[in-house]
Amino acid sequence: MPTLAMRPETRIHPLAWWMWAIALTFAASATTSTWLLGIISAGAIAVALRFRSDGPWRHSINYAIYLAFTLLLIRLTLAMLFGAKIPGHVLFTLPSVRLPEWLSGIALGGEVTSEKLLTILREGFKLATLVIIFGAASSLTRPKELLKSLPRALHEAGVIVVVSTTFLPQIISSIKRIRTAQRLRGSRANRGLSLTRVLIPVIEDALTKSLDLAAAMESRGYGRTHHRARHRLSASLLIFGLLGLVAGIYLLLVPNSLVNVPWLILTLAAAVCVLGLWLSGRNLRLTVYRPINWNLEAIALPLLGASVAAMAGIHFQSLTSLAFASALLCAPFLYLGRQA
Amino acid sequence: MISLSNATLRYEGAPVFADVNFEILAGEFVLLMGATGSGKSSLLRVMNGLTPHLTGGELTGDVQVNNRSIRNVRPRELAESIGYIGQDPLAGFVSDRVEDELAFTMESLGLSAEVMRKRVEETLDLLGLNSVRHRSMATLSAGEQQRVAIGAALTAHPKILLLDEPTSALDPTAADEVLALLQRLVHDVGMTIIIAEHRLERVVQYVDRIIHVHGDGRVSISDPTTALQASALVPPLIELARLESWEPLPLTIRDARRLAEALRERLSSAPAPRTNQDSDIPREIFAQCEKVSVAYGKHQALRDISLNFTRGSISAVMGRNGAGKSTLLATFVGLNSPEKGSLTLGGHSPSELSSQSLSRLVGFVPQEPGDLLFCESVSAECAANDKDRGLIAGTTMNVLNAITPDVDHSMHPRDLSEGQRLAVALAVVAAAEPPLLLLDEPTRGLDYLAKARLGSILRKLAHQGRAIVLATHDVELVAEIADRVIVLAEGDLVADGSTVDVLTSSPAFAPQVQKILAPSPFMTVQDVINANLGQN
Repeated sequence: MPTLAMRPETRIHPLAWWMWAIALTFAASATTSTWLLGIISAGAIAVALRFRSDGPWRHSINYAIYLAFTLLLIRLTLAMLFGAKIPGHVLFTLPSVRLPEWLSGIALGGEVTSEKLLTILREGFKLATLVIIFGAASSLTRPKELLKSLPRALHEAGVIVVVSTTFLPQIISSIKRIRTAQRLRGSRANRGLSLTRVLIPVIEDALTKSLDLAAAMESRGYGRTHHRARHRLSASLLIFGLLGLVAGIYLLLVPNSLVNVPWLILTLAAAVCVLGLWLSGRNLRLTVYRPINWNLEAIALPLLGASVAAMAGIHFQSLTSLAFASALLCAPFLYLGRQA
Repeated sequence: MISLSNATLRYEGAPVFADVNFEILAGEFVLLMGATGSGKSSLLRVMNGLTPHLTGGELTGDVQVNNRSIRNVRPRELAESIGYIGQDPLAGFVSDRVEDELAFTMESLGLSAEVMRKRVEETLDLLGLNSVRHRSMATLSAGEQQRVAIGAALTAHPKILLLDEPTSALDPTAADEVLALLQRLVHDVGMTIIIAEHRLERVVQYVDRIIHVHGDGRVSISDPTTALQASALVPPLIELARLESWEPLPLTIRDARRLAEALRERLSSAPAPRTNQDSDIPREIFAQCEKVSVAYGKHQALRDISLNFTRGSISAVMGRNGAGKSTLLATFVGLNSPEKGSLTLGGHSPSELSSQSLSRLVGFVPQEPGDLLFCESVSAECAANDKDRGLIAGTTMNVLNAITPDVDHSMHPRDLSEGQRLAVALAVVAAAEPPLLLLDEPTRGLDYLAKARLGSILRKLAHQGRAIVLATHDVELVAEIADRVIVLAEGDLVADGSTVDVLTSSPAFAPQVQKILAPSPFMTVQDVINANLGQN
């Protein structure tokens, strides 16, 4: 796989992967069926393992799986200790604390029923699926590539993010290096003191490094072709556009105001934003090296995701009457349409 | 290409350089030399306007690049006429992959996608980087990183390249590769190159002219022979030529060998040079390891290493970048616990000791001596060290004064020169009198005088009965002071023997004097002086 994954021309556009992931997220949040959630996460994991990129981010899926399991465990433990009682078959009883009258809704310890565990597990499974989908998407794409496909106006901000992602590991390694050096100096001072001992050389080191970086970027032409006056114009357009968006959303959420035209304001504000972005993009004479194109696979991916989401949505509607079925003590079952 | 007229730069107070006038012509390969802290980097950066645009300072007079004054344009506007490569290539990288890094400059210049692709391919071929084009920067060797940094500047098709100490972090072989590449750029591509470097022995044979930054504000430019005749900082080759009063001054080993005919003749009958070994110290083994292996994940950093270090000896650990030198040192200070094998320091295993008692047995001076220092002034640093280690107040200061008396105690450690900072770090470590003293790449950024001073300090410390171990690429320093050389390759011990035996048996590791005088086992100018004395 690596040779295919490396050629940008044949790689799938990172936005396509993210759109696919967002569609899967919709699907996962639309269903409570353990079966469907299981299928979705298994699919996401399989796709991630097969097609993941070759950067350091490729391991995100592994971490996401660990994280998902940890979250499930934490939820289970917390639910056993606190939380509402669900009657049913008692598995075991924890020592309980009697809480004052006004806290009667909450139990500390007490009986743990298998119904309760099952409910928690089924709810937790949804969260776990979301975490896994997110992990899959980040191991399928490289953050750098995602930034490359941003509008040109955001390029500089994108470079800053990329630089900081490469800078951070350097800072971490310099912290490690300096800490060991200090330890070998035999510092026996208390913790607070030793913090400044590490911090001062680390900050000095980081400052030197960032000055070096600034020199390197400057001499390589970064930040060139800025047109001051136009820059100011595009910046003010963007600010007004964003303010307009905020106002529009506010009107949408709080409708009984004096001017009740939220959609009009939103549309106008969005147009101003786009204009600002376009202007500031024209301001930069930037090009992108080996851009990733939208190929057939890239177009198919979000559609595939959307169809999964649609099916899950239909399935969810057929299930609303059985919303409490998840609390029943039985193996999870898969409803296939209304006839089930 | 570049012309300075009455250029004067000052930050505060005295000028870094004053009234500098010179012109560099197209296709020249120019070396910029001077003592550490003399203002070499400032002069180099003035040539593309990084100083004063980025670093501040006040520049009077004028600097012109391709007839454009740097006073009016920022360095980024000059990117396609002049490329700059800083000291630490890793710190200057903006992306994580070789190919993207090469393209970054062109993206900023707004070149079309086709042009970019073509230039990236050309540059990959020119620098021999095609096999690593998809790799991430962190996984490259130091030599490859340096070549990527050069390539990243080249893709903009500049006419001039400025390089700040491009070989200081490289092993001899990788350094030769980088210099050969620069040589090719000058000869085949017609580039103008200006390079600042301390290790003159690596570069003088390639360059057309030398700019000498004297450190007192004066800057002179002349052909290499004239510059070296007048300089106090010279490589061993020139030192030998001066001693033997060879005319004309040879700049290459080849020229020197022709002139050395008579000297070789004379030395063939001389007794073998004394070794660096100190004979009055009992050879007591202080530290040893037995079949030690260390792994980082899947990477086997050290494999079955058996070694011992005796008191009073100076051992040099050499080998390629990434051969396991630093790992070996780290293992002896207890930072890595070996997965196999045993390690003892004065009869103790480092893993059983507290960091307090460990620091009394072994001292470690890291590659960046500044890592150890955190106080506002040298005297505060010394006082803090006394307190930390429970030493009598003033101990560290006394050690520092014995090492080098010329450090201003009220200065901030950051503001000291590289050599002085190293001396302070060494004093901080040596104050607890650890019998084993380890130094990682101590000569990076040091000029010849500072290196000679470090050499005599280390000899003095060894004479007091310490076992000293240095990991280094600097063959000349090793020839001067070490009595034993250990060579590592891919985590294996490939050679362990006396300095003469190991250094004379390999062309890559042979010091200059040895290359001139082979097959006689003379390695340093001092050896030749001693032999001359013996014969008279």
